Amino acid sequence: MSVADVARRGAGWLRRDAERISGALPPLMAEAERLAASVVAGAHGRRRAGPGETFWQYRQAMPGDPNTAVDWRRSARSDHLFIREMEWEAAQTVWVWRDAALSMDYRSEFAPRSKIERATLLALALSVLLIRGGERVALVGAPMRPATGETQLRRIAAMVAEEPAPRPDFGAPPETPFLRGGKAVFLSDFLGPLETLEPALMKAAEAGVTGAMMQILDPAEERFPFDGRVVFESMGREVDFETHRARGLADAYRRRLAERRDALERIARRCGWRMTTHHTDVSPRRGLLWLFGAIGAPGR
Amino acid sequence: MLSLGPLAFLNPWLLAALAALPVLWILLRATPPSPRRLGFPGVRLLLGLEDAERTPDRTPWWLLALRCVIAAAAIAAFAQPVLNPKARLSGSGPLLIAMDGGWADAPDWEARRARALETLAQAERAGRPVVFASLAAPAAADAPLDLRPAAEWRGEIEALQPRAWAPKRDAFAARLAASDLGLTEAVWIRDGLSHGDAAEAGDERLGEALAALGGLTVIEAERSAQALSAPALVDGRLTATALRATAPGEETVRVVAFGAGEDGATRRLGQAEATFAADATTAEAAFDLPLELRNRVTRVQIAGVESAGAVALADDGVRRRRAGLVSGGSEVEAQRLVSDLHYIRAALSDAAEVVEGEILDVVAARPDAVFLADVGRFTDAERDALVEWVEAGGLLVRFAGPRMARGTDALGFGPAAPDDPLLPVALRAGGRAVGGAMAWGEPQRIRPFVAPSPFAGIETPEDVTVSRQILAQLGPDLPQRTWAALEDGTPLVTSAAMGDGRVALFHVTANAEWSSLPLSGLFVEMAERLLLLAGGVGAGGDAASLEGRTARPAALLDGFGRLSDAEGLGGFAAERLLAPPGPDAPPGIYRVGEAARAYNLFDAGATLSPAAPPPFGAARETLDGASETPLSHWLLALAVTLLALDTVVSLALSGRLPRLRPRRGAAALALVAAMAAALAAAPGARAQGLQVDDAAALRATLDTVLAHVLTGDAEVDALAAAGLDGLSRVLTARTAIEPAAPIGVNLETDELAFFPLLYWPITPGQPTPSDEAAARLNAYMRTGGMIVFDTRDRHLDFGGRPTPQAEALRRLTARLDLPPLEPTPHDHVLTRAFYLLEDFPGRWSGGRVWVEAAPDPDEEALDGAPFRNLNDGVSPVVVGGADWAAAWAADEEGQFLAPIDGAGGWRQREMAYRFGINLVMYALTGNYKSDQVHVPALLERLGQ
Repeated sequence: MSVADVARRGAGWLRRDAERISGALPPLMAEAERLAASVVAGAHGRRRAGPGETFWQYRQAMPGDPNTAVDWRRSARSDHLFIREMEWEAAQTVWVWRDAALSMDYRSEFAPRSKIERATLLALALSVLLIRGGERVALVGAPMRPATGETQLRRIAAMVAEEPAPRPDFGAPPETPFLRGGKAVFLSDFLGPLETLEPALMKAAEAGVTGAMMQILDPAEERFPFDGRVVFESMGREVDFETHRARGLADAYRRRLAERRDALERIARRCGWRMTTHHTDVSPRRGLLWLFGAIGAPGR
Repeated sequence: MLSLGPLAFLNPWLLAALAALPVLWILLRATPPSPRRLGFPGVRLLLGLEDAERTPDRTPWWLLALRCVIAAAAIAAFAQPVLNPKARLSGSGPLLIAMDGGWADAPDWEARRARALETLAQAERAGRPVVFASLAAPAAADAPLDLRPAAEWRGEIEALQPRAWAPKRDAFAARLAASDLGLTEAVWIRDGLSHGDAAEAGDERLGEALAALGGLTVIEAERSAQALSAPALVDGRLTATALRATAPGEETVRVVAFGAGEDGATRRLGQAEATFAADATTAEAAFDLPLELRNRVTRVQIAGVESAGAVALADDGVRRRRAGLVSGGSEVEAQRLVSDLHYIRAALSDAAEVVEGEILDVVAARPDAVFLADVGRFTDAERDALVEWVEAGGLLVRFAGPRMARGTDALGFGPAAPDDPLLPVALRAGGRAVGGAMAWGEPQRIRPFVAPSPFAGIETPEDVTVSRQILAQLGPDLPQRTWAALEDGTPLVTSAAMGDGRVALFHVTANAEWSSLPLSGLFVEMAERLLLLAGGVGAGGDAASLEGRTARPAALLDGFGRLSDAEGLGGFAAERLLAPPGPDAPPGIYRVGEAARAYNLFDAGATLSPAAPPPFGAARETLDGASETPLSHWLLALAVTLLALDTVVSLALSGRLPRLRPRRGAAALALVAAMAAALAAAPGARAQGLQVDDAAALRATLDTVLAHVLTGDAEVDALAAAGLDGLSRVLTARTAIEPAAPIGVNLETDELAFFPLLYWPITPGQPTPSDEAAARLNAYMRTGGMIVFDTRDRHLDFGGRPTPQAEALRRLTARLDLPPLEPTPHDHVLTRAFYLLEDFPGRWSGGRVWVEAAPDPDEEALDGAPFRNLNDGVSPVVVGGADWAAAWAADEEGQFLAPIDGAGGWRQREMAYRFGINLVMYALTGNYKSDQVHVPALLERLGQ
C-alpha cells in the first residue's frame, strides 16, 4: 500500500502505515548498515590515486605523463621527476536497480529468505556503503535524482521498502536517464525474457554507464529438486508448464539455466559490465563484497 | 461354508470377487496420479522441454500390488472368515444337544458349556428347535423330552452346573427311546469316561440311539478327567489313589490334604505326589503327616482340578483311631496309679478314642488297635474274636507281665506256646530280671531304633531302663520281628503280621513295675506310632453297620468338588450308601447314627475306564481350547490401514508429501507423540486427576480454610462463599485465625477431612447425599468435624408446619448419624468462645440455635462458677436458621451483599460476625473456654 493511498484513508491509516514502514525500515537499515560496516572494515574503500584535493603520494614520472603533472619542488630534490598524485575524490553516480517482480518473491525450503528480500538487502547495503563513501546513489525506476547524504539513504530505504502496486511476473530494468560515466547495479533473477533485458543494458552502455549485474537465484532454482507429476507455474500464473516426471527434466533445466547465464555474461561483456550469480542460501556479505568490488573498480 | 484347514469362510461365494482383481490391476495401472501445481520462477526455462520418460505416469507395480491387497483383504473380510471353525450343523429339523453334565465335566466345564452355547447359537441362526439335556440332571425316568426354540434354552445352559455324580446315560437312552420328537441330529458333549459297570452297555446304547436320529457329533475333551479314590490308611500313612482312564504316559499329579486348622478354618495340611507309571491308570499318593494333622484331614483333592471326582472325603475311618484297652488284672479304684492301663490310657487319650472293657466287648466296638496289658490267657471265644479281628486288619498290642509269664509257664515248659497265634514270637518261660538287688547286671537301656522298625527316628532317652522282661525264644525270624531291643540285644518290642493285621508285644509291663519306659515320653511317642500303624478297620464300612439305619447328609459335594453344608436335608436308608452316588444320594458326608461317614464317588480300589467309542459314522470332535474366532474385523482393519498407507504413498509418489526435514521430522514426531499421549489418555487423565486432587488438598490444608457445601443453587453458593470470605476477613482482622479463601465442597466427590468447619446452607431442592457421601459425613463428624446447618428461614414455621428448608434439612440429615440436639444453653461454650454473646443472630435475629445435647443435662455448676462444664468436645452439628452467611457476606470492597433491616441492623451484623468468630473459635479450640482458669476474668467482665 502506497503512502498516497494512506492519505486518502485518514490519519489512523496513515499512522498505521507510517509505523509499518518505519517499523520495517530500521531493521532493514540496521541490517544493511551492519553488512556495509563489515565490508568497509575489510576493503579500504576508495583510497587510491585520482582526481582530488588531498595529497595521496609521489610517484616517479613515467613516460606518457604530462609535464604539467610533474611536481617540480619534489623533483628538484633528486635526479628523478616525481609526479604528485592526489587522492581520488571524484564522486561517482551509481544507479541501483532492484527487481521487484513477482518472480523475486520465490523462496524454496532450502533458503532462509526470498530473493526479493536478499536483493533489497544488498541494494540498501550497497547504498549505505556508497553514500558513506561520498558517492551519489539513486534507485532505478524511482522518482529520484542521484544524491548523497543520509537523507538520500533514507529515501532509498523508503523506496525499497515500498512495493510497487502492479507487479509484473518478470522484471526488466526500466528506462532511466543515466548520466555518462556513471555506474549501475542490476539486482534481479534475470529469468524473464531476455528481449526485455538486452535493450535496457544496451541503452545503459550507450549512455556510457558501466556496472554489474547480479543474478540472485534461489537454491531450488539452481538444483531443480522436483519430482513427480507437476504443473509449474510462474509466480503470477501467467506461464505454466506440465511435466510428467519433473526429475527427468532436471538436467535439461540446468542446462538451460547455464545457457541463460552464458547469454547474460555475453551481453554483460559486450557492454563492459560484470556479471555474477548470487544464491540466497549463501551469506549476503559475499554478494556485497563482489558488488562493491565491481562498482569500485576503475571504470572506463 | 468353505473350510481351508483351520480357516473357513461363511460367505465363500463372495470370494469369487477375487477374480476381478486382475481387472482392477489393469484399471489402476491406467490411471496415473494427478499432477500438483507448483509456483516456480524458472518455468520459462522449462518451456519447450520434452519429458524424457513417462513411466511414473503409471502407478508403480508395488503400489498396484498394495491396492490389490487392499481389495483382496476387503473381499476376504466380507466373505466372513473364521479361524478354528466349529463343525456346522448340517441338517435341519429338531436338534438334540446332550451334555453328560457329571463330575467328569467339571474340570473343563466352561469350555463344554461354551461349546453347547455355540451349538445352540448355530441352531438359533438356523431356526431349528432344540432339545437340551444334561444326562446327570435328575429327571424322572418317564419325563418327556422338551422341544423348544433354541433361544429359550440359552438361560438354562448358562445357569447349568455340573453334578457331583456320573451321568445316567442308560436312563436317558430310555427317555429318548420313549420320546417321539422327530429329532434329526444330535450333538453329544461327553466326558469320555465309562461310569460304573452297568454303564458300559448304557454308553453304547445311548450312542446308537443318538446315531439313529441322524447325524451325531460326539465332542470330547482331549483328556478325560482324573479322579481320586477314597483315602485310606496304609501302613500308618494316609494314602489316596489317583485314577485316570487312559495311560498316555508317565504323569505326576499333586494331591493335597485339607482339614481344619488350629483356628477351625479349613487349611491345607499337607501334600503328596502321585506318579502314574507310563502304562498305569492308578497312582498312589501317600501323605507324610504327624498324627495330630492326620486326624484333622477332612478331604484330599487333586490340586488344581475342580471336580467332585478329584475330591475324596475322609471320615473317621482315616481319622481318629479307636483303641481298645484290656487289662488282665482287676481294676481297683484306689490303685489307679499302679493300674496296668494307666500309662497306656494316658498315652493314647490325646490321639485316640479309648474303649475299655472285656475283650469281647472291646472287639465288638471295632477298634483300630487293641492294647492288652498283661493278659495271659484267653478263652476260646476271646481268642477267636481277636484272631478274626486282627486278620481283618486290627493291630493287637500286648504288654507282658507276671500273668503272661505265668501263662507261658502254664503252657508248658520248654518252647513256650508255640501255637499261640496272638504272640509275635515264642516266649521263654519266666522272664528275666536284671539290675535287681539280687542280680549281677545293671538295668538295661534301650538300643536306638533302626529303620524297618516303626519307631525309627524316635530318640531313645538315656534314663529309660528296663529291669525285667520276658525273653523270646531264639529263632531265625526273631531279628526281623524285633522292633525295639535292649542294649544287650534282647527284644523289647516284637511284632508279626497276621492276616491283614498285626500283633505286637512289649516285653515289659504297661506299668512302671518292670521298666521306667511307661514313665517316659518315649512311651507316648511309641504309642502314637503304633496308632499310625493301626489300619482303617474302625469305621464300619460293612453292610452290617448300615443295615436298618438312616443316612442323613451333613455336607454335600457339588460338581466342582466344593463341600457345602447340608444339615437338615432329608435322609434315606443307609444301605443306599453302598451303591455309587447318584441324584438321590450325592457324595458328601453323611451321618449314620452317631458316626460321620464319607460317601465318595470312588472307593479304594476303584478304577476309571474310558467310554466306549462313539458309534460308527458319528463325527468326533475334541474340545480344544481354541474357540471360534471371526476374522472379518481384523481383515477390514488391515484393509483400512493399508488404505491409509496407500494414501500416504500416493501423496509421496506425486511429490505432494513434504519431505521430512529435521524440523518437520520433529513436528511429525511431536504429532506421533501427541497421538500416543492421546492413546494413553486414560491413565494420563487419571494421573492428572490425582494431581488436581493433590493441589486441592494442599490448598485446603496449607492454611486453615472454612468450607461450605455446594448446594447446586448458584446464588446460595455464591452467598455462602462470600459470607465465609467476609467472616475470614473479620477473623484475620480480629483474631489469630487467618483463614485462606473459603472452599466450596461437593459432598459426593471432595474430601471433607481437611476442614474444621463445614457451613451447609439448606435449599429445598438440594439432592440427598448418597450413601457414600453420608458415610463420609458421618466419619467427618465422628472425627471432630463440625457442620453448621443453616436453614436460612428465620425459624419461621407456619402454623406448626415446617418450612421447606426445614423439611429439606430433615431429608438431608435423615441418614446422618446426628447426636441428640438441644437449644444452645445460656452457658454453652459457643456463648463465650471469643466474645460473650447472648444470642446468635445472622441476617435474621431470634430463633434458636441447636447443638449437641449435654450428656448430663442436670449437671450443676461448680461452686462459684458461672458455667456448667457441659460437654467435653465440640458439638458435631450446629443447626440454626439465621442465614449467617448472608450477614457475613461482603464483596471485595467491603460492601455488604445482603441488607439487614431495621434500626439495629449495624449492630446485628456486628453480632453476627461475633457469632461467626465464636463459631470458628469453638470449632478450632473446642471447650478450651470452659476451662476454670478464665473464670475470674470472665466474672469480672460479667460484672458479678
